Amino acid sequence: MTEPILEPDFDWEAEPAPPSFEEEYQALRRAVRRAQGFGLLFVQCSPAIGHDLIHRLQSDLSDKPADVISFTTTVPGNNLFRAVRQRLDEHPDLRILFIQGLEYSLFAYEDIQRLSGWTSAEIYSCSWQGVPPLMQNLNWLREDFRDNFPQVCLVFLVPRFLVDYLVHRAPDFFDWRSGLFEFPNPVTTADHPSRQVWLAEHYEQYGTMPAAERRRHLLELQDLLAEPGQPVANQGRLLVELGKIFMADHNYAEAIARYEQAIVLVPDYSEAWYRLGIAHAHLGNYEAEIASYDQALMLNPQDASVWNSRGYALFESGHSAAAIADFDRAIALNPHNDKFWSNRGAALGTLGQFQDAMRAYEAALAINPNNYNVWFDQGVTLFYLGRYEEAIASYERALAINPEDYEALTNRGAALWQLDRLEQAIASCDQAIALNPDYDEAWATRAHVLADSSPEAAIASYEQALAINPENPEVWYGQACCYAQQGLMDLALDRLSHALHLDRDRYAPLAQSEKDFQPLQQHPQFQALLAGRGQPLLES
Amino acid sequence: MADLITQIYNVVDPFEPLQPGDPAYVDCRDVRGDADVLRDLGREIVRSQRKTCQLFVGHRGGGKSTELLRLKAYLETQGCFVVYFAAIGDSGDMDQEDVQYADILLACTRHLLEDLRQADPKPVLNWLRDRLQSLQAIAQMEIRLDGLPIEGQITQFAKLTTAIRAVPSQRQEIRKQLDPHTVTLLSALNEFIADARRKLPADKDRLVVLVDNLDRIVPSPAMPNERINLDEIYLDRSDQLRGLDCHLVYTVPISMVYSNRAAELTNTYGDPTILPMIMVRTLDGQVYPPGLERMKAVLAQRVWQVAPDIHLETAVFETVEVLNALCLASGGHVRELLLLTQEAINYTDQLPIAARAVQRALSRLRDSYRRTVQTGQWSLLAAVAQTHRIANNDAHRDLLFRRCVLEYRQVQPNGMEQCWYDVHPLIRAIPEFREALEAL
Repeated sequence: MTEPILEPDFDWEAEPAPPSFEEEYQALRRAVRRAQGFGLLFVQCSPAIGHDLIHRLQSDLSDKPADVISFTTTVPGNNLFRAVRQRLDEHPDLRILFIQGLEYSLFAYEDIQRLSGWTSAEIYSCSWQGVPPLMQNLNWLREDFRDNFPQVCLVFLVPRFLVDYLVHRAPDFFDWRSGLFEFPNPVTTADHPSRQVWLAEHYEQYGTMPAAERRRHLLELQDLLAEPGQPVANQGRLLVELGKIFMADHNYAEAIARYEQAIVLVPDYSEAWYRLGIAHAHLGNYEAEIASYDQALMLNPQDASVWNSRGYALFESGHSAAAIADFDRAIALNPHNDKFWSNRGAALGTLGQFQDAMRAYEAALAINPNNYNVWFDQGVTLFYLGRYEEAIASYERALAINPEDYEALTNRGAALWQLDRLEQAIASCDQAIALNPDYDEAWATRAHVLADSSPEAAIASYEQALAINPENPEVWYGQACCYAQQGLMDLALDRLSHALHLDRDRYAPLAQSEKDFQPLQQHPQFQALLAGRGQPLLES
Repeated sequence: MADLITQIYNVVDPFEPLQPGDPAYVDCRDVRGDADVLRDLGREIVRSQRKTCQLFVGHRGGGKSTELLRLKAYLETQGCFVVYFAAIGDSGDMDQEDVQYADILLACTRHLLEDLRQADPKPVLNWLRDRLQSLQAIAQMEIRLDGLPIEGQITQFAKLTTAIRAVPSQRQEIRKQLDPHTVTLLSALNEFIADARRKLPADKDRLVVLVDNLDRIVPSPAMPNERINLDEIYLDRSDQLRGLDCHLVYTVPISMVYSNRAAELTNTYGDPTILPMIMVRTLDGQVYPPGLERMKAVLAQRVWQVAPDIHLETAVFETVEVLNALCLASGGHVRELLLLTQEAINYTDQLPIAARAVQRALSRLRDSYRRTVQTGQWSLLAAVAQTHRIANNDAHRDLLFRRCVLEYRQVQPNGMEQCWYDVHPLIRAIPEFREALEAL
């Protein structure tokens, strides 16, 4: 009963070549010219092209009075209807009204970011909270537009993302269109100024931008990305740029998705691999991080930053020797980056190669004397070398850069203590405690300083440190010594048992020769503790 | 006088639902799974001895308003006094993004007061008088009843609905004031309705209220973790929604009918009346000539208003194949057919419309569907194309809401109704969809 001949033999599913700019313009011109009553047209184009189109239409259709409403900020009151009515009250003879700049009403809304770029599945759980009121206004007043402007053809010139957004958030309004016209930036304008900016500059300042500004960049980038005929290499670069914006938003999963897309398009894109590694680093995916750097280095072994990043990943995961080799490669490629030197110093420090570490820090400081980390790390190294005066000087340079750094204050206190400048040492620790009362090292260092002169005060300070962190054997041990000095042997034994419980290898020999514990030498429980037989006295 | 193509362009615009008796109306019952509002909704009202409350649902732009206006005209010939109003838009009373039950009740009140001028509005106006003080304080609007003629007092009610709609910040406050009093408003309104019924014209014995456009309510929770407003309106408040003492037809968002609340909804209101797509293809994908003819008729009836008897298949379109392709690509959705026609005319300088212009229009609309579908939804669509069924979940509801999935119905020879789903025909050619289909 069905007649197969009804099936058109023309291939309707075949995609025609996109219309030329001129073809599309003629279609738009016809639509505007033919609209007799109320009309709703959408033109997807960049603001610059929109500007040209308006001019051309106005001169081609000079018999139809036309005007332009061009927003450069949020639509007042988010009420487009009112803005249109005002304009028509002033010019009742208008037949065409071009409307530009609606996008400025949307940048403040996170919702738009979610719908126009995020791959997250959360889209289904639309709460519709925070939907831009402009969209509500359009949907809601749809019939009011029709009934109040029965002779006007409204022509909306909008960027691509706004069309996507209308589809989702003002479907009833968009549903009434008599046409959607698309004018991509001609591919020959690859040197278009805005694109040049994107592709040439490194927009590392995303992190410091206001969120709305970042959103605007994000949407612009996505529109560029969606342009037909965009060369693959450009697509890759735009994706990496998008990834950076997501990084600035701390949305590492989305950033990773962009970098991976870039890599699919341009597999030998070393920067994408490199940035993928950094994004993984933020999520703690150590193996993926290293693997990404490996790829980046295979593709481009000349990028010092990548060597440095891989070195840092290795350093952080305890592979200091391998890390140093990477830092050396980075330095060989670019000896003028203080961070490479300071990283090298830190890695050498963890291997106990303090002299070499010092040389690295000196090189770093010669390049950048304002690198706080280097002054701090150098202070630590000097302390280990027993060069306490110099360590103090180094911490003071660090504190000059960051006066609120309680760790440097604490470490300075420790160095001062070593020089027996006890009052100054305590003052330094007190400063640290005032800045951060929850920093147990400051309390512990303060206690060490007080231990000989006023054991009672030291015990109280140790108590503070233990309340914050009961896992530091040094604190238990220090307190045990203080109790022993005071002749409170049960308490001393109890604290010692905790220290031994946490680190027997270090504290058993120390206790054996500790002068504070001389009176305990014959105590059976003391001997039992040192022999590892005693019951730990967990509470006294 | 504008040239013919311009006239045709303007006569296929989608802005107005057809008025009853409009020559452009095409009877599509048999190709819409026998859906017939006059029979399905109308007969129930005409025959029932008790008041009825029915739900009416369909895709956006599928012809619901046109059908409801027809129902109104029909009921008026059957001894009914009909109050029809579009609750949203067209000087409606509500903001579709944020609708709650009280808003619907107030809108009903306003329209009943305005349309039933012969009845005594005292009970309702008294109710309003009791609320005045607290409302004026919140809304900072002047509502005055004393000293006004009855007519003037009635318009004061409109002020209230306007205030709710216009000032979102006041909306919550006004509602908070009104919510405890919706039950008393309902009984005042029923008193008013009882009087109105006594005073109906001699040839009328039933009062019917048709509430259109409620399907444009966007689901929104008042606060996170609260029940969404749709559940609140249609389920939690169903007693009140059904409580008006007259016959009622409410439109309802399609997503509500396909939610996990569907069973509860049916228990409360009976099966909703559904306006499916015009079936242009059968379940197994064959072209269905009667449906195709009906789509052509929808176009022809409009075109003939400006060019009587013009031959659609040769004079307006280049060939019958071109016209067929256009109709099939619409999936049987009327507004989509009109949109595609206008887009094709945009690419046409002179009649007839050529294959190339139609191809452009299809391509443009196809692309907008491509942009509508979210990553991750392609596989769902592919599954629908294969099984012709949908699951009761948010993802599928979303696809229905955005017309990526369309609903069809057909009465089989044995009289049983068969309902199935298909992806929008334009989606079939989208590469992402094809890939997903192959991956199944």
